[in-house]
Amino acid sequence: MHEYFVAQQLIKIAEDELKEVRPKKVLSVKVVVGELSGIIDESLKFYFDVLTKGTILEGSKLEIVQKKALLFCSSCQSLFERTKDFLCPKCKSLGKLTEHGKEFYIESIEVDDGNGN
Amino acid sequence: MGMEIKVIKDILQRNEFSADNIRKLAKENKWFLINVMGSPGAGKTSFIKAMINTFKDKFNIAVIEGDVASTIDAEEISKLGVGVLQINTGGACHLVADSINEALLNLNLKRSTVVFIENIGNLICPSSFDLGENMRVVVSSAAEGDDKPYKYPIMFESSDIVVLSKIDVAEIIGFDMEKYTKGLKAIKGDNLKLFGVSFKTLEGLTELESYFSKLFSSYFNQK
Repeated sequence: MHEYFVAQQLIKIAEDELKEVRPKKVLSVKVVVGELSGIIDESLKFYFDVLTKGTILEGSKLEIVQKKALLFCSSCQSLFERTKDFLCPKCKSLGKLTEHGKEFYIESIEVDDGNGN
Repeated sequence: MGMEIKVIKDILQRNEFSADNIRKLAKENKWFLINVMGSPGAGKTSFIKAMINTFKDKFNIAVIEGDVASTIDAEEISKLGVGVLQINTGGACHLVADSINEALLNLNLKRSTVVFIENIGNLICPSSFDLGENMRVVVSSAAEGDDKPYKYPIMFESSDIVVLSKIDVAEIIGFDMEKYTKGLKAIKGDNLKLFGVSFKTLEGLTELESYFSKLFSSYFNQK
Protein backbone atom coordinates (compact mmCIF):
# COMPACT_ATOMS: atom_id res chain seq x y z
CA MET A 1 0.00 0.00 0.00
CA HIS A 2 3.00 2.32 0.20
CA GLU A 3 4.53 1.39 -3.13
CA TYR A 4 4.99 5.01 -4.24
CA PHE A 5 7.19 5.75 -1.24
CA VAL A 6 9.01 2.45 -1.63
CA ALA A 7 9.67 3.06 -5.33
CA GLN A 8 11.16 6.46 -4.50
CA GLN A 9 13.51 4.93 -1.89
CA LEU A 10 14.43 2.10 -4.20
CA ILE A 11 15.37 4.46 -7.04
CA LYS A 12 17.41 6.62 -4.69
CA ILE A 13 19.46 3.65 -3.48
CA ALA A 14 19.99 2.40 -7.04
CA GLU A 15 21.09 5.86 -8.21
CA ASP A 16 23.61 6.08 -5.36
CA GLU A 17 24.99 2.66 -6.25
CA LEU A 18 25.38 3.66 -9.89
CA LYS A 19 27.17 6.98 -9.24
CA GLU A 20 30.63 5.45 -9.44
CA VAL A 21 29.86 2.86 -12.10
CA ARG A 22 28.43 5.31 -14.63
CA PRO A 23 27.01 2.60 -16.89
CA LYS A 24 25.95 3.18 -20.48
CA LYS A 25 22.57 1.74 -19.71
CA VAL A 26 20.80 0.13 -16.75
CA LEU A 27 19.16 -3.10 -17.80
CA SER A 28 17.36 -4.26 -14.67
CA VAL A 29 17.04 -3.88 -10.92
CA LYS A 30 16.38 -7.01 -8.91
CA VAL A 31 14.51 -6.74 -5.61
CA VAL A 32 13.56 -9.48 -3.18
CA VAL A 33 10.11 -9.12 -1.64
CA GLY A 34 8.70 -11.40 1.04
CA GLU A 35 4.96 -11.95 0.99
CA LEU A 36 4.59 -10.55 4.51
CA SER A 37 6.07 -7.20 3.50
CA GLY A 38 2.68 -6.12 2.16
CA ILE A 39 4.12 -4.91 -1.14
CA ILE A 40 2.06 -5.42 -4.28
CA ASP A 41 4.33 -6.25 -7.23
CA GLU A 42 2.26 -4.69 -9.98
CA SER A 43 1.88 -1.47 -8.08
CA LEU A 44 5.60 -1.27 -7.35
CA LYS A 45 6.43 -1.89 -11.02
CA PHE A 46 4.00 0.83 -12.05
CA TYR A 47 5.58 3.45 -9.79
CA PHE A 48 9.06 2.28 -10.73
CA ASP A 49 8.32 2.92 -14.41
CA VAL A 50 6.76 6.33 -13.71
CA LEU A 51 9.42 7.56 -11.29
CA THR A 52 12.47 6.40 -13.24
CA LYS A 53 11.56 8.66 -16.18
CA GLY A 54 14.35 11.15 -16.72
CA THR A 55 16.77 9.24 -14.43
CA ILE A 56 19.62 6.91 -15.29
CA LEU A 57 17.22 4.05 -14.58
CA GLU A 58 14.74 5.02 -17.27
CA GLY A 59 13.80 2.05 -19.41
CA SER A 60 15.23 -0.52 -17.00
CA LYS A 61 13.18 -3.45 -15.84
CA LEU A 62 12.18 -4.04 -12.25
CA GLU A 63 12.60 -7.71 -11.49
CA ILE A 64 10.79 -8.91 -8.39
CA VAL A 65 11.79 -12.14 -6.68
CA GLN A 66 8.97 -13.23 -4.41
CA LYS A 67 9.57 -15.14 -1.21
CA LYS A 68 6.93 -17.18 0.56
CA ALA A 69 6.24 -16.89 4.28
CA LEU A 70 7.59 -19.98 6.02
CA LEU A 71 6.69 -21.09 9.53
CA PHE A 72 8.80 -23.33 11.72
CA CYS A 73 7.34 -26.44 13.32
CA SER A 74 9.23 -27.24 16.51
CA SER A 75 7.79 -30.77 16.67
CA CYS A 76 8.97 -31.81 13.18
CA GLN A 77 11.90 -29.39 13.25
CA SER A 78 11.01 -28.27 9.76
CA LEU A 79 9.84 -25.25 7.80
CA PHE A 80 6.46 -25.18 6.09
CA GLU A 81 4.58 -22.69 3.93
CA ARG A 82 2.15 -20.54 5.90
CA THR A 83 -1.23 -22.20 6.37
CA LYS A 84 -4.45 -20.40 7.28
CA ASP A 85 -4.39 -21.54 10.92
CA PHE A 86 -0.56 -21.65 11.23
CA LEU A 87 -0.75 -25.44 11.80
CA CYS A 88 1.97 -27.73 10.46
CA PRO A 89 0.49 -29.79 7.58
CA LYS A 90 2.38 -32.89 8.77
CA CYS A 91 1.81 -33.04 12.53
CA LYS A 92 -0.78 -30.28 13.12
CA SER A 93 1.40 -28.52 15.72
CA LEU A 94 1.27 -24.73 15.87
CA GLY A 95 4.10 -23.25 13.80
CA LYS A 96 6.16 -20.18 14.63
CA LEU A 97 6.81 -17.17 12.43
CA THR A 98 10.33 -16.98 10.96
CA GLU A 99 12.33 -14.43 8.96
CA HIS A 100 11.25 -16.13 5.72
CA GLY A 101 8.66 -13.90 4.07
CA LYS A 102 9.83 -10.60 5.56
CA GLU A 103 12.53 -9.96 2.94
CA PHE A 104 12.63 -6.54 1.39
CA TYR A 105 15.86 -5.47 -0.23
CA ILE A 106 17.61 -4.63 -3.49
CA GLU A 107 19.69 -7.61 -4.48
CA SER A 108 21.47 -6.42 -7.60
CA ILE A 109 21.49 -4.11 -10.59
CA GLU A 110 22.31 -5.28 -14.07
CA VAL A 111 24.00 -2.72 -16.29
CA ASP A 112 25.51 -2.39 -19.70
CA ASP A 113 28.91 -0.90 -18.89
CA GLY A 114 29.77 -0.26 -22.52
CA ASN A 115 32.95 -2.33 -22.27
CA GLY A 116 31.55 -5.25 -24.16
CA ASN A 117 31.91 -7.61 -21.19
CA MET B 1 26.74 -6.47 -22.46
CA GLY B 2 25.40 -6.97 -19.00
CA MET B 3 27.33 -6.66 -15.78
CA GLU B 4 25.77 -7.41 -12.43
CA ILE B 5 26.34 -5.09 -9.47
CA LYS B 6 25.63 -6.74 -6.10
CA VAL B 7 23.77 -4.40 -3.81
CA ILE B 8 21.90 -6.14 -0.93
CA LYS B 9 20.47 -3.05 0.70
CA ASP B 10 17.36 -2.64 2.77
CA ILE B 11 14.95 -0.50 0.78
CA LEU B 12 13.70 1.32 3.86
CA GLN B 13 17.21 2.18 5.07
CA ARG B 14 16.68 5.97 4.88
CA ASN B 15 13.79 5.68 7.29
CA GLU B 16 16.08 3.69 9.59
CA PHE B 17 18.68 6.49 9.65
CA SER B 18 16.01 8.94 10.62
CA ALA B 19 14.61 6.57 13.28
CA ASP B 20 18.11 6.30 14.78
CA ASN B 21 18.19 10.10 15.08
CA ILE B 22 14.90 10.04 16.94
CA ARG B 23 16.20 7.39 19.33
CA LYS B 24 19.19 9.60 20.09
CA LEU B 25 17.03 12.67 20.60
CA ALA B 26 14.58 10.78 22.83
CA LYS B 27 17.37 9.35 24.94
CA GLU B 28 19.01 12.74 25.48
CA ASN B 29 15.71 14.31 26.52
CA LYS B 30 14.37 11.26 28.32
CA TRP B 31 11.24 11.07 26.23
CA PHE B 32 9.30 7.83 26.08
CA LEU B 33 7.77 7.35 22.64
CA ILE B 34 4.85 4.98 22.12
CA ASN B 35 3.83 4.09 18.57
CA VAL B 36 0.12 3.23 18.67
CA MET B 37 -1.04 1.17 15.70
CA GLY B 38 -4.21 -0.66 14.65
CA SER B 39 -7.11 -0.68 12.19
CA PRO B 40 -9.39 2.32 11.68
CA GLY B 41 -11.94 2.21 14.48
CA ALA B 42 -10.00 -0.27 16.65
CA GLY B 43 -9.81 2.19 19.53
CA LYS B 44 -6.38 3.83 19.17
CA THR B 45 -7.68 7.27 20.16
CA SER B 46 -9.74 5.77 23.01
CA PHE B 47 -6.61 4.03 24.29
CA ILE B 48 -4.61 7.27 24.18
CA LYS B 49 -7.41 9.25 25.85
CA ALA B 50 -7.68 6.65 28.64
CA MET B 51 -3.91 6.81 29.22
CA ILE B 52 -3.96 10.61 29.28
CA ASN B 53 -6.75 10.65 31.87
CA THR B 54 -4.90 8.17 34.05
CA PHE B 55 -1.43 9.65 33.85
CA LYS B 56 -1.68 13.38 33.08
CA ASP B 57 -1.29 14.42 36.71
CA LYS B 58 1.77 12.21 37.22
CA PHE B 59 3.74 12.60 33.98
CA ASN B 60 4.19 15.09 31.14
CA ILE B 61 2.25 13.80 28.16
CA ALA B 62 2.11 14.88 24.52
CA VAL B 63 0.49 13.37 21.46
CA ILE B 64 1.41 13.24 17.80
CA GLU B 65 -1.71 12.50 15.78
CA GLY B 66 -1.21 10.91 12.41
CA ASP B 67 -4.15 11.09 10.09
CA VAL B 68 -4.67 10.80 6.37
CA ALA B 69 -6.47 14.14 6.17
CA SER B 70 -8.71 15.12 9.08
CA THR B 71 -8.05 16.76 12.49
CA ILE B 72 -10.95 15.07 14.33
CA ASP B 73 -8.78 13.01 16.70
CA ALA B 74 -6.38 15.87 17.43
CA GLU B 75 -9.32 18.11 18.42
CA GLU B 76 -10.68 15.42 20.74
CA ILE B 77 -7.33 15.01 22.44
CA SER B 78 -6.58 18.71 22.81
CA LYS B 79 -9.71 18.99 24.99
CA LEU B 80 -7.87 16.88 27.58
CA GLY B 81 -5.28 19.60 28.08
CA VAL B 82 -2.15 17.98 26.65
CA GLY B 83 0.02 19.15 23.75
CA VAL B 84 -1.06 17.74 20.41
CA LEU B 85 0.54 18.00 17.02
CA GLN B 86 -1.27 16.84 13.93
CA ILE B 87 0.51 15.23 11.01
CA ASN B 88 -1.57 14.82 7.88
CA THR B 89 0.06 12.31 5.59
CA GLY B 90 -1.94 13.49 2.57
CA GLY B 91 -3.21 10.03 1.71
CA ALA B 92 -0.18 8.00 2.75
CA CYS B 93 -0.95 4.85 4.72
CA HIS B 94 1.69 5.17 7.45
CA LEU B 95 3.86 7.64 9.35
CA VAL B 96 7.57 7.91 8.53
CA ALA B 97 10.43 8.75 10.88
CA ASP B 98 11.22 12.03 9.08
CA SER B 99 7.85 13.52 9.98
CA ILE B 100 8.08 12.34 13.60
CA ASN B 101 11.51 13.92 13.89
CA GLU B 102 10.10 17.23 12.73
CA ALA B 103 7.02 16.94 14.97
CA LEU B 104 9.15 16.26 18.05
CA LEU B 105 11.16 19.41 17.40
CA ASN B 106 8.00 21.49 16.89
CA LEU B 107 6.27 20.30 20.05
CA ASN B 108 8.71 22.03 22.45
CA LEU B 109 8.57 19.06 24.77
CA LYS B 110 9.73 19.17 28.36
CA ARG B 111 12.36 16.72 29.53
CA SER B 112 10.84 13.40 30.66
CA THR B 113 7.69 13.32 28.56
CA VAL B 114 5.58 10.43 27.41
CA VAL B 115 4.75 10.91 23.72
CA PHE B 116 1.92 8.90 22.20
CA ILE B 117 2.14 8.67 18.42
CA GLU B 118 -1.16 7.66 16.86
CA ASN B 119 -0.33 5.98 13.59
CA ILE B 120 -2.57 5.74 10.52
CA GLY B 121 -5.34 3.16 10.82
CA ASN B 122 -3.94 0.18 8.95
CA LEU B 123 -2.65 -3.27 9.97
CA ILE B 124 0.02 -3.59 7.30
CA CYS B 125 2.11 -0.57 6.38
CA PRO B 126 2.84 1.10 9.74
CA SER B 127 4.59 -2.06 10.98
CA SER B 128 7.33 -1.65 8.34
CA PHE B 129 8.29 1.86 9.42
CA ASP B 130 10.49 2.31 12.46
CA LEU B 131 9.69 5.63 14.16
CA GLY B 132 12.49 5.36 16.71
CA GLU B 133 9.88 4.57 19.34
CA ASN B 134 10.53 3.03 22.77
CA MET B 135 7.57 0.71 22.40
CA ARG B 136 4.86 -0.34 20.00
CA VAL B 137 1.27 -1.00 20.95
CA VAL B 138 -1.27 -2.59 18.63
CA VAL B 139 -4.90 -1.92 19.46
CA SER B 140 -6.98 -4.70 17.93
CA SER B 141 -10.71 -4.80 18.60
CA ALA B 142 -12.79 -7.91 19.15
CA ALA B 143 -15.16 -6.47 16.54
CA GLU B 144 -12.54 -6.94 13.80
CA GLY B 145 -12.60 -10.70 14.32
CA ASP B 146 -10.40 -13.39 15.86
CA ASP B 147 -8.41 -14.06 12.66
CA LYS B 148 -6.39 -10.84 12.68
CA PRO B 149 -3.12 -12.32 14.05
CA TYR B 150 -3.19 -14.93 11.28
CA LYS B 151 -3.83 -12.39 8.55
CA TYR B 152 -1.49 -9.63 9.70
CA PRO B 153 1.24 -11.45 11.64
CA ILE B 154 3.92 -8.78 11.19
CA MET B 155 1.83 -6.11 12.89
CA PHE B 156 1.43 -8.30 15.97
CA GLU B 157 5.00 -9.53 15.92
CA SER B 158 6.39 -6.02 15.81
CA SER B 159 4.24 -4.83 18.74
CA ASP B 160 5.40 -5.06 22.33
CA ILE B 161 1.88 -5.33 23.69
CA VAL B 162 -1.52 -6.19 22.26
CA VAL B 163 -4.53 -4.27 23.54
CA LEU B 164 -7.64 -6.26 22.62
CA SER B 165 -10.40 -3.66 22.79
CA LYS B 166 -14.20 -3.87 22.77
CA ILE B 167 -14.18 -7.09 24.81
CA ASP B 168 -17.64 -6.10 26.05
CA VAL B 169 -19.04 -7.19 22.66
CA ALA B 170 -16.78 -10.23 22.13
CA GLU B 171 -19.35 -12.79 23.21
CA ILE B 172 -22.26 -11.27 21.29
CA ILE B 173 -20.37 -11.34 18.00
CA GLY B 174 -18.89 -14.82 18.54
CA PHE B 175 -15.25 -13.77 18.97
CA ASP B 176 -13.17 -16.91 19.62
CA MET B 177 -10.65 -15.95 22.29
CA GLU B 178 -8.84 -19.29 22.13
CA LYS B 179 -8.25 -19.00 18.38
CA TYR B 180 -7.06 -15.39 18.74
CA THR B 181 -4.65 -16.23 21.57
CA LYS B 182 -3.32 -19.28 19.74
CA GLY B 183 -2.45 -17.12 16.72
CA LEU B 184 -0.70 -14.61 18.96
CA LYS B 185 1.26 -17.37 20.71
CA ALA B 186 2.52 -18.63 17.33
CA ILE B 187 3.77 -15.12 16.61
CA LYS B 188 4.97 -13.91 20.00
CA GLY B 189 5.78 -17.13 21.85
CA ASP B 190 6.33 -16.51 25.55
CA ASN B 191 6.75 -12.78 24.97
CA LEU B 192 3.03 -12.27 24.54
CA LYS B 193 1.56 -9.41 26.56
CA LEU B 194 -2.17 -9.27 25.92
CA PHE B 195 -4.63 -6.95 27.67
CA GLY B 196 -8.34 -7.39 27.08
CA VAL B 197 -10.17 -4.12 27.73
CA SER B 198 -13.31 -2.18 27.03
CA PHE B 199 -12.85 1.58 26.97
CA LYS B 200 -16.63 1.85 27.25
CA THR B 201 -17.35 -0.32 30.29
CA LEU B 202 -13.76 0.16 31.61
CA GLU B 203 -13.40 -3.60 32.06
CA GLY B 204 -9.74 -4.65 32.16
CA LEU B 205 -8.47 -1.07 32.34
CA THR B 206 -6.90 -1.46 35.80
CA GLU B 207 -4.43 -4.11 34.56
CA LEU B 208 -3.46 -1.96 31.59
CA GLU B 209 -2.96 1.11 33.80
CA SER B 210 -0.88 -0.80 36.29
CA TYR B 211 1.34 -2.13 33.46
CA PHE B 212 2.03 1.38 32.15
CA SER B 213 2.38 2.84 35.62
CA LYS B 214 5.24 0.43 36.38
CA LEU B 215 6.79 0.98 32.96
CA PHE B 216 6.77 4.81 33.18
CA SER B 217 7.95 4.86 36.80
CA SER B 218 10.93 2.65 36.10
CA TYR B 219 11.84 4.58 32.91
CA PHE B 220 11.65 8.03 34.44
CA ASN B 221 13.28 7.03 37.73
CA GLN B 222 16.42 5.82 35.97
CA LYS B 223 19.39 8.01 36.58
